[in-house]
Amino acid sequence: MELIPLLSTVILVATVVTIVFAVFSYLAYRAREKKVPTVATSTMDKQQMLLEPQFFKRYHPPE
Amino acid sequence: MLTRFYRVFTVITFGAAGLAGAALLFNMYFNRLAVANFFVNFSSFILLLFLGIVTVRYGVLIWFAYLQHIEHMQEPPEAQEYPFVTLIVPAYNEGVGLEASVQSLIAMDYPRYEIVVVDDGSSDDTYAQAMRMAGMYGHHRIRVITQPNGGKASALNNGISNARGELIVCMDGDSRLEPQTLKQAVKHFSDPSVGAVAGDVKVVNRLNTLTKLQALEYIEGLSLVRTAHAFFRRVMVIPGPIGVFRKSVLEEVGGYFQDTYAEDCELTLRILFAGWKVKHESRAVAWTEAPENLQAFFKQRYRWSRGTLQAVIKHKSRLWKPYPNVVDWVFLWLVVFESMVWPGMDVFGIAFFVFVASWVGLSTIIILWWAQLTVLDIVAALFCLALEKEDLRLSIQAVLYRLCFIPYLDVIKFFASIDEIFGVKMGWGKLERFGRI
Repeated sequence: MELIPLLSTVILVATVVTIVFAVFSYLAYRAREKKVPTVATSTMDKQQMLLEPQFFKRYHPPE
Repeated sequence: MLTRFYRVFTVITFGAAGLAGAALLFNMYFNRLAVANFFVNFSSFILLLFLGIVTVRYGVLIWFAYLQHIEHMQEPPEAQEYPFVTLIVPAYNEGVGLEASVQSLIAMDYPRYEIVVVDDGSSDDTYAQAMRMAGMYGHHRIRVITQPNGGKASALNNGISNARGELIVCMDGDSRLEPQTLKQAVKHFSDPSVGAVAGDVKVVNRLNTLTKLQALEYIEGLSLVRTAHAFFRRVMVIPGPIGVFRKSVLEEVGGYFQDTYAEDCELTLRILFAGWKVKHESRAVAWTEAPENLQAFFKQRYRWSRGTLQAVIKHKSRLWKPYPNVVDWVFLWLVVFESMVWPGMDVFGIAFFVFVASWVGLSTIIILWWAQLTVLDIVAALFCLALEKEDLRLSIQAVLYRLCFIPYLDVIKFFASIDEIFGVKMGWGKLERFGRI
Protein backbone atom coordinates (compact mmCIF):
# COMPACT_ATOMS: atom_id res chain seq x y z
CA MET A 1 0.00 0.00 0.00
CA GLU A 2 1.29 3.47 -0.85
CA LEU A 3 2.20 5.89 1.90
CA ILE A 4 -0.32 8.67 1.21
CA PRO A 5 -3.46 6.50 1.14
CA LEU A 6 -2.19 4.67 4.22
CA LEU A 7 -1.58 7.89 6.18
CA SER A 8 -4.86 9.43 5.09
CA THR A 9 -6.71 6.29 6.23
CA VAL A 10 -4.99 6.46 9.62
CA ILE A 11 -5.90 10.14 10.01
CA LEU A 12 -9.48 9.58 8.92
CA VAL A 13 -10.01 6.59 11.21
CA ALA A 14 -8.40 8.37 14.18
CA THR A 15 -10.61 11.43 13.64
CA VAL A 16 -13.81 9.41 13.32
CA VAL A 17 -12.97 7.25 16.35
CA THR A 18 -12.22 10.36 18.45
CA ILE A 19 -15.51 12.00 17.50
CA VAL A 20 -17.49 8.83 18.21
CA PHE A 21 -15.62 8.39 21.51
CA ALA A 22 -16.38 11.99 22.49
CA VAL A 23 -20.08 11.50 21.75
CA PHE A 24 -20.11 8.33 23.88
CA SER A 25 -18.29 10.21 26.68
CA TYR A 26 -21.04 12.82 26.57
CA LEU A 27 -23.78 10.18 26.71
CA ALA A 28 -21.99 8.45 29.62
CA TYR A 29 -21.66 11.81 31.41
CA ARG A 30 -25.38 12.49 30.99
CA ALA A 31 -26.20 9.03 32.31
CA ARG A 32 -23.99 9.60 35.38
CA GLU A 33 -25.49 13.04 35.97
CA LYS A 34 -28.99 11.55 36.03
CA LYS A 35 -27.98 9.39 38.98
CA VAL A 36 -26.89 12.29 41.22
CA PRO A 37 -29.10 15.11 42.52
CA THR A 38 -28.66 18.25 40.43
CA VAL A 39 -29.60 21.90 40.64
CA ALA A 40 -31.29 23.44 37.64
CA THR A 41 -29.26 26.31 36.22
CA SER A 42 -32.26 28.56 35.95
CA THR A 43 -33.31 27.87 39.54
CA MET A 44 -29.78 28.51 40.75
CA ASP A 45 -29.65 31.77 38.86
CA LYS A 46 -32.82 33.03 40.48
CA GLN A 47 -31.71 32.02 43.97
CA GLN A 48 -28.26 33.51 43.62
CA MET A 49 -29.43 36.74 42.04
CA LEU A 50 -31.36 37.40 45.24
CA LEU A 51 -28.26 36.97 47.38
CA GLU A 52 -26.12 39.94 48.22
CA PRO A 53 -22.37 39.52 47.95
CA GLN A 54 -21.33 38.12 51.29
CA PHE A 55 -18.09 39.78 52.17
CA PHE A 56 -18.85 43.32 53.11
CA LYS A 57 -18.24 42.73 56.80
CA ARG A 58 -14.84 44.38 57.15
CA TYR A 59 -12.25 42.59 59.21
CA HIS A 60 -10.76 44.64 62.03
CA PRO A 61 -7.54 43.16 63.36
CA PRO A 62 -7.32 42.91 67.15
CA GLU A 63 -5.68 45.97 68.77
CA MET B 1 23.24 32.76 27.12
CA LEU B 2 20.09 30.67 27.62
CA THR B 3 17.87 33.77 27.33
CA ARG B 4 19.62 34.70 24.09
CA PHE B 5 19.03 31.17 22.78
CA TYR B 6 15.35 31.39 23.60
CA ARG B 7 15.06 34.79 21.92
CA VAL B 8 16.71 33.56 18.74
CA PHE B 9 14.67 30.38 18.87
CA THR B 10 11.46 32.38 19.24
CA VAL B 11 12.24 34.51 16.20
CA ILE B 12 13.14 31.44 14.11
CA THR B 13 9.99 29.65 15.20
CA PHE B 14 7.86 32.65 14.41
CA GLY B 15 9.38 32.91 10.92
CA ALA B 16 8.95 29.18 10.36
CA ALA B 17 5.26 29.49 11.24
CA GLY B 18 4.65 31.92 8.43
CA LEU B 19 6.69 29.97 5.90
CA ALA B 20 5.13 26.61 6.76
CA GLY B 21 1.61 28.01 6.62
CA ALA B 22 2.23 29.78 3.31
CA ALA B 23 3.87 26.72 1.72
CA LEU B 24 1.07 24.38 2.67
CA LEU B 25 -1.67 26.78 1.59
CA PHE B 26 0.12 27.28 -1.72
CA ASN B 27 0.43 23.52 -2.23
CA MET B 28 -3.21 22.96 -1.37
CA TYR B 29 -4.33 25.73 -3.73
CA PHE B 30 -2.64 24.06 -6.69
CA ASN B 31 -4.00 20.67 -5.72
CA ARG B 32 -7.42 22.21 -5.67
CA LEU B 33 -7.01 23.54 -9.21
CA ALA B 34 -6.15 20.06 -10.42
CA VAL B 35 -9.54 18.73 -9.39
CA ALA B 36 -12.30 19.24 -11.90
CA ASN B 37 -15.45 18.22 -10.10
CA PHE B 38 -17.54 21.17 -8.91
CA PHE B 39 -18.46 19.64 -5.57
CA VAL B 40 -14.85 18.78 -4.84
CA ASN B 41 -13.81 22.30 -5.77
CA PHE B 42 -16.48 23.75 -3.53
CA SER B 43 -15.54 21.43 -0.65
CA SER B 44 -11.88 22.27 -1.07
CA PHE B 45 -12.77 25.95 -0.95
CA ILE B 46 -14.65 25.50 2.35
CA LEU B 47 -11.78 23.51 3.86
CA LEU B 48 -9.27 26.03 2.55
CA LEU B 49 -11.32 28.85 4.07
CA PHE B 50 -11.37 27.00 7.39
CA LEU B 51 -7.60 26.51 7.24
CA GLY B 52 -7.23 30.19 6.45
CA ILE B 53 -9.23 31.16 9.54
CA VAL B 54 -7.15 28.78 11.72
CA THR B 55 -3.93 30.25 10.31
CA VAL B 56 -5.07 33.84 10.82
CA ARG B 57 -6.22 33.06 14.37
CA TYR B 58 -2.88 31.50 15.27
CA GLY B 59 -0.97 34.28 13.48
CA VAL B 60 -2.83 37.06 15.32
CA LEU B 61 -2.46 35.34 18.71
CA ILE B 62 1.25 34.62 18.21
CA TRP B 63 1.91 38.15 16.95
CA PHE B 64 0.31 39.89 19.93
CA ALA B 65 1.80 37.36 22.37
CA TYR B 66 5.21 38.15 20.88
CA LEU B 67 4.66 41.91 21.23
CA GLN B 68 3.55 41.37 24.81
CA HIS B 69 6.66 39.28 25.44
CA ILE B 70 8.94 42.06 24.12
CA GLU B 71 7.12 44.62 26.26
CA HIS B 72 7.33 42.31 29.26
CA MET B 73 11.11 41.99 28.90
CA GLN B 74 11.44 45.77 29.19
CA GLU B 75 9.50 45.94 32.46
CA PRO B 76 11.36 46.17 35.80
CA PRO B 77 12.36 42.67 36.99
CA GLU B 78 10.43 42.90 40.25
CA ALA B 79 8.36 45.14 42.53
CA GLN B 80 9.82 48.39 43.89
CA GLU B 81 7.28 48.52 46.74
CA TYR B 82 5.86 45.67 48.76
CA PRO B 83 2.22 46.24 49.78
CA PHE B 84 0.74 43.81 52.30
CA VAL B 85 -0.75 40.79 50.53
CA THR B 86 -3.29 38.22 51.68
CA LEU B 87 -3.22 34.80 50.06
CA ILE B 88 -6.58 33.06 50.25
CA VAL B 89 -6.68 29.27 50.02
CA PRO B 90 -10.25 27.97 49.65
CA ALA B 91 -10.29 24.29 50.58
CA TYR B 92 -13.07 21.75 50.19
CA ASN B 93 -11.93 18.18 50.85
CA GLU B 94 -8.35 19.08 49.93
CA GLY B 95 -6.84 16.92 52.68
CA VAL B 96 -4.57 15.22 50.12
CA GLY B 97 -2.81 18.30 48.77
CA LEU B 98 -3.46 21.13 51.24
CA GLU B 99 -0.23 20.78 53.18
CA ALA B 100 1.98 20.92 50.07
CA SER B 101 -0.02 23.88 48.83
CA VAL B 102 0.35 25.85 52.07
CA GLN B 103 4.03 24.88 52.40
CA SER B 104 4.66 26.48 48.99
CA LEU B 105 3.07 29.68 50.30
CA ILE B 106 5.23 29.76 53.43
CA ALA B 107 8.30 29.64 51.16
CA MET B 108 7.27 32.74 49.17
CA ASP B 109 10.00 35.26 48.41
CA TYR B 110 8.03 38.31 49.61
CA PRO B 111 8.41 40.32 52.82
CA ARG B 112 4.83 41.18 53.81
CA TYR B 113 2.00 38.70 53.51
CA GLU B 114 -0.45 36.49 55.38
CA ILE B 115 -2.19 33.26 54.46
CA VAL B 116 -5.89 32.68 55.09
CA VAL B 117 -7.10 29.09 54.68
CA VAL B 118 -10.89 28.86 54.33
CA ASP B 119 -12.27 25.39 55.00
CA ASP B 120 -15.51 25.18 53.04
CA GLY B 121 -17.28 22.65 55.29
CA SER B 122 -15.06 19.75 54.21
CA SER B 123 -16.09 16.21 55.13
CA ASP B 124 -12.47 14.97 55.28
CA ASP B 125 -9.58 16.12 57.51
CA THR B 126 -8.97 19.42 55.66
CA TYR B 127 -9.86 21.57 58.65
CA ALA B 128 -7.73 19.53 61.08
CA GLN B 129 -4.79 19.72 58.69
CA ALA B 130 -5.21 23.46 58.24
CA MET B 131 -5.39 24.00 62.02
CA ARG B 132 -2.14 22.07 62.48
CA MET B 133 -0.43 24.58 60.18
CA ALA B 134 -2.04 27.70 61.70
CA GLY B 135 0.26 30.15 63.46
CA MET B 136 3.28 32.35 62.82
CA TYR B 137 6.03 31.43 60.38
CA GLY B 138 8.66 34.16 60.68
CA HIS B 139 6.80 37.34 59.74
CA HIS B 140 3.95 35.47 58.07
CA ARG B 141 0.81 34.31 59.82
CA ILE B 142 -1.46 31.47 58.72
CA ARG B 143 -5.06 31.93 59.79
CA VAL B 144 -7.79 29.33 59.38
CA ILE B 145 -11.49 29.99 58.92
CA THR B 146 -14.19 27.35 58.63
CA GLN B 147 -17.69 27.75 57.25
CA PRO B 148 -20.63 25.55 56.27
CA ASN B 149 -20.20 24.25 52.71
CA GLY B 150 -21.13 27.05 50.33
CA GLY B 151 -18.89 26.59 47.29
CA LYS B 152 -15.56 28.06 46.19
CA ALA B 153 -16.95 31.54 45.53
CA SER B 154 -18.44 31.70 49.02
CA ALA B 155 -15.17 30.53 50.60
CA LEU B 156 -13.18 33.12 48.65
CA ASN B 157 -15.62 35.87 49.64
CA ASN B 158 -15.31 34.82 53.28
CA GLY B 159 -11.53 34.96 52.94
CA ILE B 160 -11.67 38.39 51.30
CA SER B 161 -13.84 39.76 54.10
CA ASN B 162 -11.23 38.58 56.61
CA ALA B 163 -8.22 39.71 54.60
CA ARG B 164 -5.97 42.46 55.89
CA GLY B 165 -3.99 42.83 52.69
CA GLU B 166 -4.20 45.68 50.24
CA LEU B 167 -3.78 43.05 47.53
CA ILE B 168 -5.50 39.67 47.50
CA VAL B 169 -4.24 36.47 45.91
CA CYS B 170 -7.05 34.04 45.10
CA MET B 171 -5.96 30.50 44.36
CA ASP B 172 -7.10 26.88 44.53
CA GLY B 173 -6.60 24.62 47.50
CA ASP B 174 -4.69 22.19 45.29
CA SER B 175 -2.28 24.68 43.67
CA ARG B 176 1.37 25.31 44.45
CA LEU B 177 2.85 28.76 43.82
CA GLU B 178 6.42 29.45 42.71
CA PRO B 179 8.42 31.53 45.26
CA GLN B 180 8.83 34.55 42.92
CA THR B 181 5.09 34.76 42.16
CA LEU B 182 4.20 37.63 44.51
CA LYS B 183 7.16 39.86 43.64
CA GLN B 184 6.47 39.40 39.94
CA ALA B 185 2.72 39.98 40.14
CA VAL B 186 2.78 42.87 42.62
CA LYS B 187 4.99 45.10 40.42
CA HIS B 188 2.08 45.62 37.98
CA PHE B 189 0.04 47.38 40.67
CA SER B 190 2.36 50.39 40.59
CA ASP B 191 0.04 51.41 37.73
CA PRO B 192 -3.09 52.66 39.57
CA SER B 193 -5.38 51.67 36.67
CA VAL B 194 -4.50 47.96 36.99
CA GLY B 195 -7.24 46.16 38.92
CA ALA B 196 -5.98 42.60 38.69
CA VAL B 197 -3.17 40.42 37.38
CA ALA B 198 -3.59 36.92 36.00
CA GLY B 199 -0.79 34.47 36.64
CA ASP B 200 0.34 31.50 34.58
CA VAL B 201 -0.98 28.02 35.32
CA LYS B 202 1.06 24.92 34.59
CA VAL B 203 0.23 21.23 34.91
CA VAL B 204 2.30 19.47 37.56
CA ASN B 205 1.26 15.84 37.01
CA ARG B 206 2.61 15.14 33.52
CA LEU B 207 2.34 11.42 34.10
CA ASN B 208 0.30 10.05 31.21
CA THR B 209 -0.61 11.12 27.67
CA LEU B 210 -3.79 12.88 28.77
CA THR B 211 -2.03 15.04 31.37
CA LYS B 212 0.86 15.76 28.96
CA LEU B 213 -1.67 16.91 26.37
CA GLN B 214 -3.27 19.14 28.99
CA ALA B 215 0.17 20.50 29.93
CA LEU B 216 0.66 21.45 26.29
CA GLU B 217 -2.83 22.91 26.09
CA TYR B 218 -2.28 25.06 29.20
CA ILE B 219 0.80 26.53 27.51
CA GLU B 220 -0.27 26.63 23.87
CA GLY B 221 -4.02 27.02 24.15
CA LEU B 222 -4.71 28.96 27.34
CA SER B 223 -1.51 30.87 28.09
CA LEU B 224 -1.04 31.99 24.47
CA VAL B 225 -4.53 33.53 24.40
CA ARG B 226 -3.99 35.16 27.80
CA THR B 227 -0.62 36.62 26.77
CA ALA B 228 -2.07 37.98 23.51
CA HIS B 229 -4.99 39.59 25.39
CA ALA B 230 -2.54 41.03 27.91
CA PHE B 231 -1.02 43.21 25.21
CA PHE B 232 -4.31 45.15 25.33
CA ARG B 233 -4.51 44.90 29.17
CA ARG B 234 -7.68 42.88 28.63
CA VAL B 235 -7.10 39.37 29.97
CA MET B 236 -10.59 37.90 29.79
CA VAL B 237 -10.21 35.07 32.33
CA ILE B 238 -8.12 35.32 35.48
CA PRO B 239 -7.43 31.65 36.17
CA GLY B 240 -8.74 30.14 39.42
CA PRO B 241 -5.32 28.80 40.55
CA ILE B 242 -3.62 32.23 40.50
CA GLY B 243 -5.21 35.66 40.38
CA VAL B 244 -4.00 38.80 42.17
CA PHE B 245 -6.54 41.56 42.85
CA ARG B 246 -6.74 44.94 44.51
CA LYS B 247 -9.01 44.43 47.51
CA SER B 248 -10.73 47.73 46.73
CA VAL B 249 -11.58 46.46 43.24
CA LEU B 250 -13.08 43.25 44.59
CA GLU B 251 -15.19 45.33 46.97
CA GLU B 252 -16.21 47.68 44.17
CA VAL B 253 -17.44 44.91 41.87
CA GLY B 254 -19.03 42.80 44.61
CA GLY B 255 -16.61 39.88 44.95
CA TYR B 256 -17.30 36.43 43.55
CA PHE B 257 -20.84 35.52 42.48
CA GLN B 258 -22.16 31.98 42.44
CA ASP B 259 -24.60 32.26 39.57
CA THR B 260 -22.25 30.71 37.00
CA TYR B 261 -20.02 27.64 36.92
CA ALA B 262 -17.02 29.81 35.94
CA GLU B 263 -16.87 32.33 38.77
CA ASP B 264 -13.33 33.43 37.80
CA CYS B 265 -14.37 34.33 34.24
CA GLU B 266 -17.49 36.12 35.43
CA LEU B 267 -15.54 38.15 38.01
CA THR B 268 -12.94 39.12 35.39
CA LEU B 269 -15.65 40.42 33.07
CA ARG B 270 -17.09 42.59 35.86
CA ILE B 271 -13.64 43.99 36.67
CA LEU B 272 -13.05 44.85 33.00
CA PHE B 273 -16.49 46.40 32.59
CA ALA B 274 -15.82 48.53 35.68
CA GLY B 275 -12.98 50.10 33.69
CA TRP B 276 -9.99 48.36 35.29
CA LYS B 277 -7.05 46.96 33.37
CA VAL B 278 -6.29 43.27 33.78
CA LYS B 279 -2.70 42.25 33.06
CA HIS B 280 -0.84 38.96 32.79
CA GLU B 281 2.40 37.98 34.49
CA SER B 282 4.05 34.90 33.03
CA ARG B 283 6.52 34.64 35.92
CA ALA B 284 3.73 34.39 38.51
CA VAL B 285 3.36 30.63 38.25
CA ALA B 286 0.85 28.28 39.86
CA TRP B 287 1.25 24.52 39.46
CA THR B 288 -2.00 22.59 39.39
CA GLU B 289 -3.15 19.00 39.16
CA ALA B 290 -4.88 18.15 35.89
CA PRO B 291 -7.50 15.38 35.61
CA GLU B 292 -5.76 12.06 35.05
CA ASN B 293 -8.61 10.19 33.38
CA LEU B 294 -11.07 11.00 30.63
CA GLN B 295 -14.12 10.91 32.88
CA ALA B 296 -12.75 13.62 35.18
CA PHE B 297 -11.39 15.58 32.23
CA PHE B 298 -14.76 15.56 30.46
CA LYS B 299 -16.53 16.74 33.63
CA GLN B 300 -14.06 19.58 34.21
CA ARG B 301 -14.13 20.89 30.66
CA TYR B 302 -17.90 20.56 30.33
CA ARG B 303 -18.26 22.69 33.47
CA TRP B 304 -15.72 25.27 32.23
CA SER B 305 -17.43 25.56 28.86
CA ARG B 306 -20.90 26.00 30.31
CA GLY B 307 -19.57 28.38 32.96
CA THR B 308 -17.93 30.63 30.37
CA LEU B 309 -21.13 30.69 28.35
CA GLN B 310 -23.15 31.52 31.46
CA ALA B 311 -20.80 34.42 32.19
CA VAL B 312 -21.21 35.76 28.65
CA ILE B 313 -24.98 35.26 28.71
CA LYS B 314 -25.11 37.14 32.04
CA HIS B 315 -23.47 40.12 30.33
CA LYS B 316 -25.23 39.61 26.98
CA SER B 317 -26.67 43.12 26.94
CA ARG B 318 -23.10 44.38 26.45
CA LEU B 319 -22.78 42.36 23.25
CA TRP B 320 -25.08 44.86 21.54
CA LYS B 321 -23.57 47.97 23.10
CA PRO B 322 -20.18 48.73 21.55
CA TYR B 323 -20.06 52.14 23.25
CA PRO B 324 -18.60 53.61 25.39
CA ASN B 325 -15.84 50.99 25.53
CA VAL B 326 -15.28 49.46 22.09
CA VAL B 327 -12.25 47.42 23.22
CA ASP B 328 -14.25 45.60 25.92
CA TRP B 329 -17.02 44.98 23.41
CA VAL B 330 -14.58 43.45 20.91
CA PHE B 331 -13.05 41.24 23.59
CA LEU B 332 -16.48 40.06 24.80
CA TRP B 333 -17.20 38.97 21.23
CA LEU B 334 -13.83 37.25 21.20
CA VAL B 335 -14.91 35.21 24.24
CA VAL B 336 -18.10 34.25 22.37
CA PHE B 337 -16.01 33.30 19.34
CA GLU B 338 -13.48 31.24 21.30
CA SER B 339 -16.01 29.48 23.52
CA MET B 340 -18.91 28.92 21.14
CA VAL B 341 -18.35 29.83 17.49
CA TRP B 342 -14.86 28.39 17.15
CA PRO B 343 -15.64 24.90 18.61
CA GLY B 344 -18.80 24.82 16.46
CA MET B 345 -16.77 25.68 13.36
CA ASP B 346 -14.15 23.12 14.28
CA VAL B 347 -16.72 20.34 14.73
CA PHE B 348 -18.38 21.34 11.45
CA GLY B 349 -14.97 21.47 9.72
CA ILE B 350 -14.00 18.00 10.96
CA ALA B 351 -17.40 16.52 10.04
CA PHE B 352 -17.26 18.12 6.60
CA PHE B 353 -13.67 16.96 6.10
CA VAL B 354 -14.59 13.37 7.05
CA PHE B 355 -17.62 13.48 4.74
CA VAL B 356 -15.69 14.84 1.76
CA ALA B 357 -12.72 12.54 2.33
CA SER B 358 -14.83 9.39 2.65
CA TRP B 359 -17.16 10.28 -0.23
CA VAL B 360 -14.65 11.64 -2.73
CA GLY B 361 -11.57 9.87 -1.38
CA LEU B 362 -9.00 12.63 -1.74
CA SER B 363 -5.98 11.20 0.03
CA THR B 364 -3.72 14.15 -0.78
CA ILE B 365 -6.21 16.68 0.57
CA ILE B 366 -6.60 14.69 3.78
CA ILE B 367 -2.84 14.63 4.29
CA LEU B 368 -2.47 18.32 3.46
CA TRP B 369 -5.38 19.31 5.68
CA TRP B 370 -4.00 17.43 8.64
CA ALA B 371 -0.37 18.37 7.93
CA GLN B 372 -1.20 22.07 7.77
CA LEU B 373 -3.06 22.00 11.08
CA THR B 374 -0.40 19.88 12.76
CA VAL B 375 2.45 22.07 11.49
CA LEU B 376 0.60 25.10 12.84
CA ASP B 377 0.14 23.37 16.19
CA ILE B 378 3.77 22.29 16.39
CA VAL B 379 5.03 25.75 15.48
CA ALA B 380 2.66 27.42 17.96
CA ALA B 381 3.69 24.89 20.61
CA LEU B 382 7.41 25.54 20.01
CA PHE B 383 6.82 29.29 20.13
CA CYS B 384 4.91 29.06 23.43
CA LEU B 385 7.32 26.56 24.99
CA ALA B 386 10.25 28.80 24.07
CA LEU B 387 8.50 31.86 25.49
CA GLU B 388 7.83 30.10 28.78
CA LYS B 389 11.20 28.34 28.85
CA GLU B 390 9.45 24.99 29.07
CA ASP B 391 10.69 21.59 27.94
CA LEU B 392 10.61 21.72 24.12
CA ARG B 393 10.04 17.95 23.96
CA LEU B 394 6.45 18.62 24.99
CA SER B 395 5.87 19.83 21.40
CA ILE B 396 5.94 16.17 20.25
CA GLN B 397 2.49 15.90 21.81
CA ALA B 398 1.23 18.39 19.21
CA VAL B 399 0.65 15.50 16.77
CA LEU B 400 -1.81 13.77 19.11
CA TYR B 401 -3.06 17.18 20.22
CA ARG B 402 -4.40 17.89 16.73
CA LEU B 403 -5.45 14.35 15.90
CA CYS B 404 -7.42 13.51 19.06
CA PHE B 405 -7.29 16.14 21.82
CA ILE B 406 -8.71 19.14 19.90
CA PRO B 407 -11.60 17.20 18.28
CA TYR B 408 -12.47 15.64 21.66
CA LEU B 409 -12.40 19.03 23.38
CA ASP B 410 -14.43 20.69 20.65
CA VAL B 411 -17.13 18.05 20.89
CA ILE B 412 -17.33 18.70 24.66
CA LYS B 413 -17.63 22.45 24.03
CA PHE B 414 -20.20 21.83 21.32
CA PHE B 415 -22.45 19.72 23.58
CA ALA B 416 -21.90 22.10 26.52
CA SER B 417 -23.08 25.01 24.35
CA ILE B 418 -26.16 23.09 23.18
CA ASP B 419 -26.99 22.03 26.76
CA GLU B 420 -26.54 25.56 28.09
CA ILE B 421 -28.80 27.01 25.39
CA PHE B 422 -31.50 24.46 26.25
CA GLY B 423 -30.95 24.84 30.03
CA VAL B 424 -30.06 21.17 30.66
CA LYS B 425 -29.46 20.52 34.37
CA MET B 426 -25.98 19.86 35.68
CA GLY B 427 -24.24 19.38 39.03
CA TRP B 428 -21.07 20.95 40.41
CA GLY B 429 -19.05 17.84 41.14
CA LYS B 430 -15.62 17.73 42.77
CA LEU B 431 -12.49 16.78 40.89
CA GLU B 432 -10.62 13.85 42.41
CA ARG B 433 -7.14 14.83 43.59
CA PHE B 434 -4.14 12.55 44.06
CA GLY B 435 -1.82 14.93 45.97
CA ARG B 436 0.65 15.30 43.07
CA ILE B 437 1.69 18.84 43.99
